[in-house]
Amino acid sequence: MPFLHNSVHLWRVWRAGVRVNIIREIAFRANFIFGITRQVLWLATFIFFIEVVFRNTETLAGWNQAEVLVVLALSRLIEGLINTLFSQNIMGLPELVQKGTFDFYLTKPVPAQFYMAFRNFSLYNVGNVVAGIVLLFYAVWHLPQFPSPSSWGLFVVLAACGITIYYSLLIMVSSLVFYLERLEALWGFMVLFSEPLTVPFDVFPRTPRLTLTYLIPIAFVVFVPAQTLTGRLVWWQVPVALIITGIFLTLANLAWRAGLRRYSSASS
Amino acid sequence: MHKVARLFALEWSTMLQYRFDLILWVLTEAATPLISLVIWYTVSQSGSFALSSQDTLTYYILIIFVIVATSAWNGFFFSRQILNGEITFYLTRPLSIFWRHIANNIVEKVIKFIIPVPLVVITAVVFPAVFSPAIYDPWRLLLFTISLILGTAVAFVLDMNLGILAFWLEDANQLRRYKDLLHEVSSGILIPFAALPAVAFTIFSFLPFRYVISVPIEILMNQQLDSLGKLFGLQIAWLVGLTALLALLWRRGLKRYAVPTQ
Repeated sequence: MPFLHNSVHLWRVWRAGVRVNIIREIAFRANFIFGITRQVLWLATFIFFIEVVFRNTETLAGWNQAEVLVVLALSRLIEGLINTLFSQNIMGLPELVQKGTFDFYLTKPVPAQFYMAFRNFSLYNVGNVVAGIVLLFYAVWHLPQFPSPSSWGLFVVLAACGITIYYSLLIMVSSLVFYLERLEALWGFMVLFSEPLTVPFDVFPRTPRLTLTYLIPIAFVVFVPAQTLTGRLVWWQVPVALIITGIFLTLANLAWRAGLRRYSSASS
Repeated sequence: MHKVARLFALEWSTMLQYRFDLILWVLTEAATPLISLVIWYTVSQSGSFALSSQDTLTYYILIIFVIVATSAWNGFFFSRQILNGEITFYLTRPLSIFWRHIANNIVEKVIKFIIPVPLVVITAVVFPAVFSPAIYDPWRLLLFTISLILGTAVAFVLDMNLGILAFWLEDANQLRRYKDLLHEVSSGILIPFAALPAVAFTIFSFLPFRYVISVPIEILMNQQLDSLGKLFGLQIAWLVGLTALLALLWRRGLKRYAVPTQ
């Protein structure tokens, strides 16, 4: 089976890259420690924020404090995974294209998109993943009802969908660099995609909420998985999540391929 | 004066190449306050919040305006110029390197304001009832403008102080990221000072960030958390203190500076 053989190959390539990266990051220890400390402080800031919010109100758009903490914990966990695995690499694409280094990516015996997106493993972002898991256990413990095994299962599926959607959005936006040749503003898009993840989307007015659910579907990244754990998921959201994931992954690959065809090497 | 004008013209023409980026940067700067806005707006409608719904909306629209007006990034580039030896070019020129950064800072903001300012002004003229009536007082608008200029200066000098640490530290930009975090939580962006618990209010008032973001708005909206004299006094004190520190660090830094390219 060529597909299976291919994924084993990609898995080996990725694992070798991870090893090199971990060795390199451990060499720059100060950076690593600074990164982790910042993530902890950031989390403390947000827990303080939520604490102050709930001194002023009993529920926030129908969510109680423990449930809002679940959203925050999941945002740390999922964003942490995203930043560890691929977002930092995709942010580097404009520079690769501008300098012409991207040529080397095209000649490697692995798919260029895969290599571009997953080549570096950003170790210090694991801090967010760990912090997210710790906070998640604390928050879930304080929920009125502990999530059933089946909601945990659904949660894993939906979180995977969410991460794929986020990945697709980043690929789409970064493909713009093949047309514009210069895209320093790419990180700005990432800020806009990730900033709303920390809150339950029910606080948004109707129009922005629908936009963020179907047009730029970042609602599926953290909010919908959080709905699963807090017993708010409506059954039809699962097929919708799967369909949207499929659509956006396809669109991202179309955008990427169209972009590659436009690519004119800067170094030759 | 003529030289400074030339510098501004130069910055203007370089900055125009980045129109698209600048619009996006304004959006990213508005992202956090917009999210705080929806949260506190929701709270103000259900619970017992220090601000009314109308005040919350006004407060956060002003926050976005003040964030863009006071934002300071030049320390980042300043530290890079120190690390790669570029400041030596400026040392031989007639105008101080600081003018270059001031011009860059002001010009970029003028371009950034081309979209948001008309939006706010049109809303204020066509639907004056959207915003709290307090902000239409001409006397307070004048005080707000003065306070905003002071806040902008404090933010700029503070950021340059962080940048100049590159004379002593290899990686001064790590510190800047901590500054960004503190700036978000202790300036009134995440939580308005009017709604802060007493302990946090006191602690955050000892940091400079309140005098950059929150104070101009407290004055315009007449929140009276502290007397006008105290607020202006502290803004001026921070500005004078930080400027003196910057001057001192600049003199000390140049003395020990070894140009990396030589």
